[in-house]
Amino acid sequence: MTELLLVILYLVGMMIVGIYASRKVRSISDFVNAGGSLGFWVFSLLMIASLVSGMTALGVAGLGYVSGYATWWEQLAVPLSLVLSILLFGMKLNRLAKENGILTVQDYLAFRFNDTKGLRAASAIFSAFVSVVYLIGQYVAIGIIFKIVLGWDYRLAIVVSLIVTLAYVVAGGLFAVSWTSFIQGLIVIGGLTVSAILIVNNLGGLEHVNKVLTEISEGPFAGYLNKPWGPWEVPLISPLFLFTLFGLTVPLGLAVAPHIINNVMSLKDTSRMKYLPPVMFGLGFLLLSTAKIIGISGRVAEYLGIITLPSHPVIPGSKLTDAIFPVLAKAVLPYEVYVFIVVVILAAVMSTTDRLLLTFGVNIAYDIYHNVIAKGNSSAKKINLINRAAIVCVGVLTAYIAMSPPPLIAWLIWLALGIMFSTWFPTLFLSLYWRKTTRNAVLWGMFVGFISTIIVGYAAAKPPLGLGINLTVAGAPIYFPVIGFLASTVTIVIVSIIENLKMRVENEVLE
Amino acid sequence: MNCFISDSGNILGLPLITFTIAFATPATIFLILTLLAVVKRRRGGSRK
Repeated sequence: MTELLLVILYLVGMMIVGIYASRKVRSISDFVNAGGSLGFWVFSLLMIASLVSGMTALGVAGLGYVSGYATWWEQLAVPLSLVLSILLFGMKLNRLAKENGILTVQDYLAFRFNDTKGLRAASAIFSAFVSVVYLIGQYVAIGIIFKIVLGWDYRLAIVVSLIVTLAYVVAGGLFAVSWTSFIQGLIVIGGLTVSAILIVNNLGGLEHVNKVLTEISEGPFAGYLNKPWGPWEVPLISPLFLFTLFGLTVPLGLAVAPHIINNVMSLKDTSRMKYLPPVMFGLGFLLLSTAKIIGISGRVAEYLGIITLPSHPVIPGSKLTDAIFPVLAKAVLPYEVYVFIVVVILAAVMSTTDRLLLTFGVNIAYDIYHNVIAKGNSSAKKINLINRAAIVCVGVLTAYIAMSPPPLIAWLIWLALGIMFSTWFPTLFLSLYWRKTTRNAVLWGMFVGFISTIIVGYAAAKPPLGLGINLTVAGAPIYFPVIGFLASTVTIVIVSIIENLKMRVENEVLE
Repeated sequence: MNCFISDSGNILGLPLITFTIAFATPATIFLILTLLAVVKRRRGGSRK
């Protein structure tokens, strides 16, 4: 009963904050990027909260349970993605946004290549696709957690969280998302840190947990749980797989994820961006490492007979490893602390869900309708109306799909991360840092990256469970989006060189 | 041996290489990023 009251209190609180924030929305810019007026700490927490999803609070702990320290590279890769997002893209894009009225990444591409239609539309469609896939994953996470922790009906949980997020996103746009994210970010950081400390202390301290970890001889990756990598040919913990996943795909892919990189235009004071990298890395590492340590403690607790994980509802013969955090918390934490875990997980899931909803709405209303279809001639009132309608439609659609998650959902979520890495990173990086990049090269590069990642991902990953571990190089598994990334980069470089040569020849003929 | 490093060379119950990657590396990255931010601030200040 206390859990339920806390959840209701949290949901009502988020709605009040969101609706209060909506009073500041007076223009399209206010709705899309909070009028570029966010302060340092609100912006920092917005970046962290956009990154931290249900996957962080549940999936990272789940991976810690499965693989121990052998996948600790994730704890470096994810915080570094925020650092790269700021250093490589944020500093330049924020300045360009202030000087040229840019509100989204699609605006930047249109501005950079003087192309108001094709490039903008293609980029917006890819962005919307990724947001839809991620949204379905978030709603599935919400449903599972409410079912396990509160015993709620899976579908009812999705409907309740949908109504609350829609209410404040539709009302307040990025102002509401950033203010609620500020609170959600603090809840998740505080909640995970306190939980990790209490759980580890309860099990005899970190040194004892690590020692027991070495004794585990059964289950996945036993024998490698306290090592930084595994044998060359073993999927997931092979050095080459770890490098392609946590050295390339995660840091570079998340750095340009639409729900993260579009935030960089909203910071008020560009000169303060230089302080963001240590703050982003410090908070990100704190979050990621506490979640992983909780998962590692879960493996130890199971070995000691303290907990038993429930069976996976979809995969026969498997355990629901992503439930390790709530299951462990319920077993070892005092009830008064445990009840807060529900709110912590809910805050983690909702802080990404709201940003994804807004990203989709802006893609449809501002990028595609306003700039492509209406050629920049629609009224602010009409854009806001379409934006809000798109947010409601995609929210209802993705929640509906999540109620009976398709077997391909896990594959699609991993694919979405791969698409960010292979489609946007080469596009944005070369557009910002290589003057000879051409409009057609970027367009072709995006298509090649998108299509090749889907094809290679499908062939290598064996849906519905795929992580792309069937793709090997020199006997070692590699993470599949690397192929699409290389294909996209090579396409952009070659097409740009050919077009530049062509232009030079044409100029010489004219002279 | 002090309270962190055991006789077997483990730190916090972890092999030295795991401890280095798990805790020493992120601490170093954080330190470098902080120093870079401070240096940039000073350079920015001197231009004014």
